[in-house]
Amino acid sequence: MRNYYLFIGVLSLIVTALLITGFIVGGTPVSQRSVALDATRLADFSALQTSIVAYYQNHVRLPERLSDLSLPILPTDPVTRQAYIYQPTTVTSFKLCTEFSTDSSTANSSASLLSYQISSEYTHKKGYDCVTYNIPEYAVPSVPTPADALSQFTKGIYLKEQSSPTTNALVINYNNNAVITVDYSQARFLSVGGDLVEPETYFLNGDLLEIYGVTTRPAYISASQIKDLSR
Amino acid sequence: MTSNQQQNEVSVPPSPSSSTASVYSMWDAFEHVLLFISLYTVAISIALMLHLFVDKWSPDIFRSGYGFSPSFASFQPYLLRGYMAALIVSYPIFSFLFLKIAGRTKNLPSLRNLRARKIFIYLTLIGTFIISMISIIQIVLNFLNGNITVNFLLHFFVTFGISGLIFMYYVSQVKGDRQIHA
Repeated sequence: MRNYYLFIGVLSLIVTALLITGFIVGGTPVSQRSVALDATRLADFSALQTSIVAYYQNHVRLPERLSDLSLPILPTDPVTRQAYIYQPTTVTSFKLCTEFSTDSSTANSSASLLSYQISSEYTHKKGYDCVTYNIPEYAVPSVPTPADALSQFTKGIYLKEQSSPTTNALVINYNNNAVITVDYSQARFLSVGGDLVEPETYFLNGDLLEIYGVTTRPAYISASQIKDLSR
Repeated sequence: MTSNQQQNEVSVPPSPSSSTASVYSMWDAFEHVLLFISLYTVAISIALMLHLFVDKWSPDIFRSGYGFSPSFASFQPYLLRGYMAALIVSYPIFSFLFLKIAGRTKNLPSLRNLRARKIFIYLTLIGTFIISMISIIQIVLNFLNGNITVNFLLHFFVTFGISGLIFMYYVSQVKGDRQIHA
């Protein structure tokens, strides 16, 4: 019987050592509470971010305050029960601030309760800190820059040349309106939809006329409109 | 259960029509079932904890995985906490029942014939034998594949060590049973 007690004694020591190691590696219940609180805060931030992005998509601007959002209940800090602090920083980015219980750089590395949910990009220090969020690119309506417009042109403006140019200019009509005018002699792209365009160039590529240009009103020409003309 | 109660149970004579095992109360069988359930829980949670520690402190360089290390994920503390919880709950039950049953079997050697005890011992022997054999097959396979790493060896020692210990213990119990009945 003594052997059995000895065995259970040794096993108890091993189990105790394992549990202590587990607490060191996985965090004590007290530290886990702090981590769980911060995970709740970041989850709230994530919910707010989703609503703010939705607001941006509808209004093409950030809300002035969180109460502008169409949320039935604004999430509050799990400890202080105070509303989170929201600050727009640029046209497409904003900060959400609160009192954090842990430092994300140390807490997430080993002991996070929900480490698989917390992205490492949202870092914060212990105490009052802010997390910066950006409106994702897909939510920002496309206001094409000249470079974007140029890429749209090169995508959409492969027009079949109808005959060898006998005149100096090629005018492409759409609904009896001169829509695209190209001056062959000077290799200039003159106008699109009646608006003057920045002169670029065109290339004859086999029987295709490739026109490159940057318009002054980039939003006016979309690739689909150009494709319509080629029919 | 007090010693008085135990003596009362022991003193109950077997009814003529029943086998020897039925002199023991259903409670004995029940305790054995609980003992083996808690043994499995303790053994599995200790093994899984050790596997997690192995992956944490000696990561697999091939990321092939022994079956316990999700190579795509980093160390997962929530799994560890699950194993700790299982160990915290099951270990006291196991150690209590283990000592209680060991003491009772010592005082009453014929308890070794309890049907539940025999069934569970043999099931455990089969289970630990299969686990040990699988881990040996894996180590031979990995040796042939040239994948032997420290991580892999540690995983092997954990699985083989724990299942081997349980296997050896119950083999010794079965041998003890035979000697007593020889």
